[in-house]
Amino acid sequence: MVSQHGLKLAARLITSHFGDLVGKVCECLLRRGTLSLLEIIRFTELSSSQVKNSILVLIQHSCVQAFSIPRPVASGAEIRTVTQYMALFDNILHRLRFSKFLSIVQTDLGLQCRNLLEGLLQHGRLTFEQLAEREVSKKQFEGSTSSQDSLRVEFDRLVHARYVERCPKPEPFVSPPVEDKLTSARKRGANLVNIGTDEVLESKTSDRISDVPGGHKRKHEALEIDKETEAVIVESGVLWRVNFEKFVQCLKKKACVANARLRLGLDAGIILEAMIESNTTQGNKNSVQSSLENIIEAVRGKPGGISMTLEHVRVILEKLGSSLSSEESGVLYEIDLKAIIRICQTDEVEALVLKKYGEVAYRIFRFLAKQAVVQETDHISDVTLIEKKITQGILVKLWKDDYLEMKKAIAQGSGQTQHFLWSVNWDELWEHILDDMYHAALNLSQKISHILEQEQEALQDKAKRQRLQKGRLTLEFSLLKLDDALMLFHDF
Amino acid sequence: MAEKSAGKRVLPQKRSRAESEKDRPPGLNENEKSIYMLIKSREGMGISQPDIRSAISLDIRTLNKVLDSLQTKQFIKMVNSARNKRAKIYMDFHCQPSSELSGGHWFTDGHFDEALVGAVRHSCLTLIKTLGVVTVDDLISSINKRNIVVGGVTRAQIDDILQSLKVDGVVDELRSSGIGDFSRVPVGKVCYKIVADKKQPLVGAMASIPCGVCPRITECTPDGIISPDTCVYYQNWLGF
Repeated sequence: MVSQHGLKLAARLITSHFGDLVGKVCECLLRRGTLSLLEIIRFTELSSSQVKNSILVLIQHSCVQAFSIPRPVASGAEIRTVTQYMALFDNILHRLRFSKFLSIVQTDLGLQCRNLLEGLLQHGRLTFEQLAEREVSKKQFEGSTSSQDSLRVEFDRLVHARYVERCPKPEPFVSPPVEDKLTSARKRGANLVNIGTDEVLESKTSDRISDVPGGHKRKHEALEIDKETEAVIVESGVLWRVNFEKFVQCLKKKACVANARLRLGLDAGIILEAMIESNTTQGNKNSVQSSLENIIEAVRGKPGGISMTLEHVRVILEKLGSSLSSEESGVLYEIDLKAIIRICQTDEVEALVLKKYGEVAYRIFRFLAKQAVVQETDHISDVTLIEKKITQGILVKLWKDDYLEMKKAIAQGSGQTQHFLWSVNWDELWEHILDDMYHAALNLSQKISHILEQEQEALQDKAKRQRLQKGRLTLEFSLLKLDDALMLFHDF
Repeated sequence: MAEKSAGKRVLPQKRSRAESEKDRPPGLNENEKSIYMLIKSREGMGISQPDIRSAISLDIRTLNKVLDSLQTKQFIKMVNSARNKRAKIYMDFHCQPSSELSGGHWFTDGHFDEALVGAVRHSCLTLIKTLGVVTVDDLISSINKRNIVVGGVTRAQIDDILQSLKVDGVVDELRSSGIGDFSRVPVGKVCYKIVADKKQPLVGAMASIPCGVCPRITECTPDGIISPDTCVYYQNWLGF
C-alpha cells in the first residue's frame, strides 16, 4: 500500500515530465486503482482523445500497463472483454533515477551504450532502427559518424548485460478474473495491484516472447540467444525498453558495498563487490553465494585486491557476517544482503533521531533498537544513565512522533502501580519513515520547480540567477541522495 | 500429654505478651503502636501511606492523625522517593533510606548527579583508551588512586558506567585470552576494550535536509500556508 505522499510524488513526477493532462490521468489511476477508459474519462472529466493520448504516453513510458479481462456487463449474464489500465507506481518513481541508470551503464559499458540507453529513457520504448536513427542524426549534428553495425554491437552489449529488455505484449489477457482481487484494487490500492497483477502480466508476456512454458517466471537465460538470432530480432521492428529490475539490482549492490566500505573499510567493500559479482545463486535476490576460489579470483581482478591474502579475505568475509554451507560443488560462503540493507535502514533512522532529537534521544533510541523485548522506563534510565525525568520526556516525544511504541502495564500489589513499557515497532516505523521520505522528496521536487521558475524571471539579474542555480544544484543533489535512502526502504 | 500441650500453648503467649510490652514504645496508643511497628519493620525501604492503609485498615483521617503524631514525637520521619517524587515514604526516625529509595549511587541529596556520571564516564573512557584492555578492578584502583571522584568510586558505579558504554557501542566486553593486548589480564577474566572501528553516526539523507527535522512537516502541503515554496527553513538552508 503506497502512502498518500508517495502517490502525490508519483503524480508530481508525471506532471513535471509530461504536463498537466497526463499528470491528471496518471493521478486518477494512482488514486483509484485499475480503471477502464470510460471510467478514466468520467473521473477526470477530460475528453476521450485527451485521455487516450495521455494513456498512450504513459504506456509508451511503461508508467501504465494495459490488460484485458473478461467482465460481466449489465445484468451480469453477458461477459465481455474489457481493457483495464493500471498505473505502475514503481516505474513512475524510477524516473527520479534516470541519471543514476545512465551513470551505471557508462561505467560498465562505456559512453556509446550510455547514449543508446539515454534514447530509450527519453522515448520509453523504441525499435532498434528508431534508436539507431536517433543516434545517427545526433552524431551528424555533432559532426561525427557512427555506423549501424557498431551501434548494433553496442546495443547487443546492453541486451546481454540485461540493461535493456524486449517490451512485453501490449495488452495481455488475464484469465480467469479474480473478482475479489479486482474489487480490492478499486479500493485505492494502486500499488497493491501493481505488485500482484503486474508480475503475472510481465511473466505472461515474456513467456510468449521467449517461448518459455506458461506459468514459469521469466528466465534471464532465455534472452541469451545466439548473436545471429539477435541480429534478426534487432532488425525486425521489435520494441525495446529499459530493464528497471536490473538497475535496481545494481543500485542495491552499490548500496551494500558502500555500507560495507563505511563500516569495515575499503577491503570489505572490494570483497563484498567481488562476492556479488561471482554470485552463483540466481533465484534468491536477497543473498549471494560463492566459493572462496571464485571470490579470490574476482577480488584479484579488482584494483587493490591483488595484495589481499587468503586469510585476510576469510577474516573480512567473517566480519561481513557470512555463513558457510556445503554443496556438491564444495564449500560456499553466503552473505545475506537483506541484513546489510537492514543496517543501512537503521543507520538512516538513527541519524534522523540524532539530528531531530539530540544525542540523549539517540542513545535511548539505539538502546531500544537493539532490544528484542519491551523495556520499562526506569530500566532504560538505569541502563543509559540518563535521569528518569529526561528519559521519560524523550520517550514520550519519540512515541508521539511514532518512533516508539508504548504499552501500559498495571502491577497489582498493595496498591496499583502503572508501568510504561517501550519498544521499537520496526514495521510501523519503516512505513512512517518511508511516508516522510516521500513527503520530503515531493517538497524537494516542488522547490526545484519553484527555483526554476524564479531563474526564468531573473534572466536579467546575473548574480541572483547564479545564487538560484547554486541553490537548485544543492536541492537536486539532496533529492538524489534522498532517493538512495528511499530505495533502501521501498525497492531493496 | 494434655497438660503438657496446654502448658506449651500458654507459655509462648505469655512470652510474646511480655516481649511486646517490652518493645512497645512508651507514650503510644494502640493505633500508633501498630503503625509504628509496621513502619519500623520496613527499615530503610520505608512504606507509603496507601501501603499502610492496605496493611492496617484505618480510615484516612485517623491514619493521618496517627502519622502526624508519630512524626511529632520523632518516632518516624517522612522522606521522598528519588524515583517517584510525589510519593511520601514513612520510615523509622533512626533509619537511613535504602539505595532504592534514595535513587542509588548516582543520586546526591535526592537528585540525579549528572556531573558525577559525566566525570566517572570520562575517566573510565580515558583510562580504557590509555591502558588498552582493562578490568573493573583496574578502573576502580586507577580512579581512586588519582582521586578523580571525591570519596572514591564503587564497583557498582563502574559496572553502571561500563554497561552504558557497552549499550552506546563505545566499549566491548571480552574475556582475556592472556596473549597480545590481554597479556596483563589473567586468562578468562572479563575485561573491556574500546571498539576499534567505532563509526561516527552517519549523516543521513533525511537528516541533512530541512524536511527531515522540520517541526511543521505535518502541516506542510504543496499549496498550503506552509509549503516548500514559502518555507523559511529552505530559505535559510539555501542562503536565499
